[in-house]
Amino acid sequence: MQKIVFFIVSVLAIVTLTAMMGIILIIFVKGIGVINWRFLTSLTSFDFYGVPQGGIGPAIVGTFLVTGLGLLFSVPLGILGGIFLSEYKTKRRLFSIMRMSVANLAGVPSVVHGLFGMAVFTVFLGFGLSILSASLTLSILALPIVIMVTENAMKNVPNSVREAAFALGAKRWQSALLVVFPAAFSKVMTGVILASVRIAGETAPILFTGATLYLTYYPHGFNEQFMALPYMIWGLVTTSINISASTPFAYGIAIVLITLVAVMNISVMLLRLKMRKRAVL
Amino acid sequence: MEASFNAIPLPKVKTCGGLWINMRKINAVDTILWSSGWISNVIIIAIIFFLFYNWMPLFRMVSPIEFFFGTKWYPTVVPPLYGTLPLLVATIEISLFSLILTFPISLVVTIFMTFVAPKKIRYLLKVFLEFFSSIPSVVLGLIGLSILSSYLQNVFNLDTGLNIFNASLMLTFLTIPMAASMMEDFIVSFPIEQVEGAQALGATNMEILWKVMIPGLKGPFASIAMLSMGRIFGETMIVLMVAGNAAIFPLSVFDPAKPLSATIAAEMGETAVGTSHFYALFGIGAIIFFITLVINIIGEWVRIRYEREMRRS
Repeated sequence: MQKIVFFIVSVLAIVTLTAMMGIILIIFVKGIGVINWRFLTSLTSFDFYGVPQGGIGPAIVGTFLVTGLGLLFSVPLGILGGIFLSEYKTKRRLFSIMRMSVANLAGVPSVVHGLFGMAVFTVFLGFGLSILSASLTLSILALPIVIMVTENAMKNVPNSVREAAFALGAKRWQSALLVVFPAAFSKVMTGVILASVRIAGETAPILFTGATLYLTYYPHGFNEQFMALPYMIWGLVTTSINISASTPFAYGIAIVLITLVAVMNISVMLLRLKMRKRAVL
Repeated sequence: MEASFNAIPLPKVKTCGGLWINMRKINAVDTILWSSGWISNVIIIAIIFFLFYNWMPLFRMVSPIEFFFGTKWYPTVVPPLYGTLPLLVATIEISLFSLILTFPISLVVTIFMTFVAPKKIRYLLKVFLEFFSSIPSVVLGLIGLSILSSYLQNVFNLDTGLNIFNASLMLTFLTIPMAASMMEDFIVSFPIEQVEGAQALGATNMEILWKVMIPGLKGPFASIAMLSMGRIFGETMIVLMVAGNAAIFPLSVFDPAKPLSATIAAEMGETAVGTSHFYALFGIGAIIFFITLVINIIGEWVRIRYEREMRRS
């Protein structure tokens, strides 16, 4: 009986996992044809029939720019917030409200982030459709992720570390910032990398805060519109003039995105392995 | 760990436990940390404020009853009709359908990983799930749009392959990795005494799974279901690309539909700031925001209650 049930379970699970691997495989098969050096580095253009020519250089630059700026805004703030949540906790009710709001902010749908970013940064503060508004919007998306990761990483540092710091006369903030945080640093880094993967692939928040399908130049200012990889996938297969000719191009961009995600995930894995080795010592 | 931490006699720093800080006893660094701790509350409140600020002017032109219960969403006809009910029904239908698919499949994958697969494969699968969960949703939308849709159209002989079924399927692929890896965490960290107790009574692996673990993990599984639901409910790109963008009452799962989030994403680009359509889209945003807020709060509440129970026992 057990054998039969577990056999059925295995078959179902393997079918699911194969389908997931199949999705990645299909993307690679369909898009590998367009990948070459020119595709990755040159400017985008469309010919007379709406067939995309050239490459996705501006989109790659735009995605890196927006993600980097978003991290620049969110990481320092998120790390400080996470440190506060893990080191300064008391039994007060306000702290549970604080933690609850972090969890809820993490659960806010990305399209609502987009609306909020549009209302605040684009219209209210007058940044317009720009790299600045988009990266600020993305930074709000990344903030709760960084806070939660920092809090968990700091909590996993053993108490003896804190006790040693207090025994040497450190104040609470000195122990938190100068002793516990360095001990948790590499774990925080993994969280930051995962947050950057998340915001690099988001499309909905940049839909109305500054992304555009087609620019003939590389971005050269923070108050300009920009091209982004995920936005370009969506634009090519839904709004371009010649959809069937644009689809392979979209698959090529998907390959670039998936490779980016894979590289980030591998670096996280290597960081974790390194940490595990150090923990043994 | 928590108890011991609080038991350490700390140097008497009057930390900022409450809203009011005693400025003489607190230094600058404490203040900075304290204020960045509150940042997420500030953002949540700002989100609520700005959603309402851009939604409320709508009710000068359209009555709330028409907005919430109207059955026609025609924002571009004159006079425009802003009934969000078909959109809400479409969202709920898609969410429930993909949750029904996600939950058993993730459970099956989890059982395979924890009970059947050898340890090395299990580690590899865990890495793969993490990788798959960080694939951008727009890539899954691309698959649904350009491959699955024509396939569905041929197999089921439909008018269009872009429908609720397609969207739910792609959403399921989006949520399986998250749900499965959370389930795996809970099963791995299940109290070992209970497993060993069952083993001592001669229970097989399957009996441990069905009679010990799953009843014991009811709470966490419910919270996983709620969190996946929250994720599915607000997901935009997949439903925008795959659900078919037709604002009609979806009757079967093979009908095209226009969920709430897709409506915002599809129409906000062509809407001028300050028109009634603009306000209506913010109203939809507010609906999504509050429904996901409630779903997430329930999920968190279930999880916290489970953790408290575990600590007590």
